[in-house]
Amino acid sequence: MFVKQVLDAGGHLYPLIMSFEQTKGTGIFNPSIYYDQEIDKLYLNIRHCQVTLYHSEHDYFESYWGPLHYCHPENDCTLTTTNYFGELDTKTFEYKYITKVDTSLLDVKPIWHFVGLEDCRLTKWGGKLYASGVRRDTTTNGQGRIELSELHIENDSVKEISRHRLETPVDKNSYCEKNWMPVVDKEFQYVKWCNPTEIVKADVLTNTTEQIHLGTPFWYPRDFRGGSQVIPLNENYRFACLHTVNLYQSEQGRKNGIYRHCFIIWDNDWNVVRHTPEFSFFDAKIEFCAGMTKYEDKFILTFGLQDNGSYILTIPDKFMEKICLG
Amino acid sequence: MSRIRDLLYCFVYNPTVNNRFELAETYYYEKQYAISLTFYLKVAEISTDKDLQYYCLIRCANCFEIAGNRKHSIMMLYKHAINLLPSRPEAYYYLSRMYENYSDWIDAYTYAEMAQNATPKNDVYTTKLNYPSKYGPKFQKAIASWHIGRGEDSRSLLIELKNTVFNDMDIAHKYSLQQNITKLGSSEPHTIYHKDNYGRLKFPFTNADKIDRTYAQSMQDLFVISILNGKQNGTYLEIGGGHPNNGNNTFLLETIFNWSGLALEKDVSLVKKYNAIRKNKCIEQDALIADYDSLIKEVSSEKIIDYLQLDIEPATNTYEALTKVPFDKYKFRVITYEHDYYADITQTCREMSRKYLKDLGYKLVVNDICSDRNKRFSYEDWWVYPELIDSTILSNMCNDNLSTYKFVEEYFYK
Repeated sequence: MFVKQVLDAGGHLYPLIMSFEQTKGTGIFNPSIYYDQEIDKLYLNIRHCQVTLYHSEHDYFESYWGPLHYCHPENDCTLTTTNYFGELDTKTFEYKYITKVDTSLLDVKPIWHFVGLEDCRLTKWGGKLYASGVRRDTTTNGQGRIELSELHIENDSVKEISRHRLETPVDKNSYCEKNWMPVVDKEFQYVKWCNPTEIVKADVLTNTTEQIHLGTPFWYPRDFRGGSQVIPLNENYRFACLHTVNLYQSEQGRKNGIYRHCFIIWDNDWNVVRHTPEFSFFDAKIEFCAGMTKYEDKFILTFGLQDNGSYILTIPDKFMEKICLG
Repeated sequence: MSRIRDLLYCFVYNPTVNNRFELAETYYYEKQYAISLTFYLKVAEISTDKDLQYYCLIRCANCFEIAGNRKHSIMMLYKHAINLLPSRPEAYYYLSRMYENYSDWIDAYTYAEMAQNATPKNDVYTTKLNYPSKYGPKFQKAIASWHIGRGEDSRSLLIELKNTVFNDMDIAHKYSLQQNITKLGSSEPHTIYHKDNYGRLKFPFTNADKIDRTYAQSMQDLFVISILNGKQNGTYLEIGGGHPNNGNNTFLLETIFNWSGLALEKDVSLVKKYNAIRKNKCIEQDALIADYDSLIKEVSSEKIIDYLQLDIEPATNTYEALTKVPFDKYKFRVITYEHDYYADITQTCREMSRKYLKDLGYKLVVNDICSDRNKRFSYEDWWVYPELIDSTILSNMCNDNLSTYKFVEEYFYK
């Protein structure tokens, strides 16, 4: 259990909860944290859906639909995401406020059943605060594209004031782009893929992207998929927390999956220096990290558990350097 | 939040069944139902304690119930629990309630029956679930029975519950029990006098031959007009107007004997119906907050009103309305007072009303009128102010045996 190692090294763990009035008892997950050093504020975006993940990890109490099932209201087969944005106290990690992101200015009627901006990562580029995630509700076939949403905070209310749907740089017809990891210290740059490392840069005037780096692939049994933002580890390296997935079927042919995480470290020329062994935060099969930031002498990670719960994990920077660089 | 955080640390350092369970419970009581389900389900899968597993599966179902509109997932979890421990009643009971929520009455009845036949354990999990072992399954059966056409079974079970375990019930069940008993009443049709029975009347009166039929539930209209010897142009105040001519105590008085009066009714649809049919007015009015002095002035300028009807529900409300009538300013020759003793969960309103009216000088003429021939459903008393009634008629019509319940046909007919 990775969390135990971190706590042993002096880290801390905090649960993230939201009021029942906001969630109606369904899942909050894939939180993304961002520390804005200029104004000394710690921000959090958290994803809420009207579903609860039912996951029989030991296959003993499976649902009618198998061991892994997103249980949605029976009169609403959409997977509808609502994003909540808040500011956290930097010492206690308690909310100073947490509020639903007001997207009314830019909302259009969804035409696919995955609704809303999913798995947002927070970043600040050019003095503007952004959430970038995947949106799949604008086409009738669920084509997913990364969207960059500018957020405006005023009196504890948060409004989306611009929205950029980013085209892919190479395969314009790809079905679903997701988990692009924003590089917090490189304006409008994303790590689109990790093996090989592919860096793209977005142009928010044209909503296009261009590939600016493509690295050399290396052998690994699973894909390295996106996770947190990409942030500096020190002056020589950047890194991110990413995930791998082992999707498999039960004997009865029903879908199941195991998500694991690792840190990947790049030098300043985007060469992969190393990656850590895979780990699990809580030894659960489904976990997902979508946020990492640096604050004082620690890194702060945010992750979701079984798409139902959310947590903050602080990791002392010395320990992080040790596990990342050996 | 600090409690959850402490428990998380316990879980991280010692991920035992017990530590996971404590987290599940704490998340549940903090209304964090989705993540609570994650921990409950894990405990259900890794524990070897079947009672604990059973409890956790029910809690998972509860989490979905709270989220709403997830019938199949809820059903699946209760059935997993039943498969695990078919001898325990809780999952059957909650399934019965779930089917009730979806108006699936046969299944609601079936699972209530199964819950009743299972063996209550009365352990810590029964307590945590607030499982009403003493009355839950029977209550479910009572409700479902009615919906599957077994009205008499339903009535009997409800009355049995009221008489045996009422004090053990939680407030929601108490309220529901009263509502249901009142709503169901007896299955008997209204007892109506028809002209054919003219010769059987024990208390003949002037102009009785003009009556083709009565309209009240238990011939209250016949009582009023009999004891007032067929009075023409009388006056009334009808608290709880109800339907204008079906089970109505004043329709006969208005149409055959030309009485005038005023009815109060809370249900706006009934008010509309009433005023569409009746000459005398019915107003939309909550009887508990009415200004009776002004209303009675609309009925008559006299200080004596011929008839006061009190019939609202439940029994406690009727009693409260009674206490708001300005008896210090007005006298009523006849009063029919619906105490709904059979449905009164307090079992006090009948006695309180009797003391109240007796202290005001009224005389109880007929007690415990029942709506059924088996005399199980005592619901009303009939009163007069003796000085305002012909003493011979009163003497004839007065029934001094307060110990017996009355069915009106026995009272009126030879």
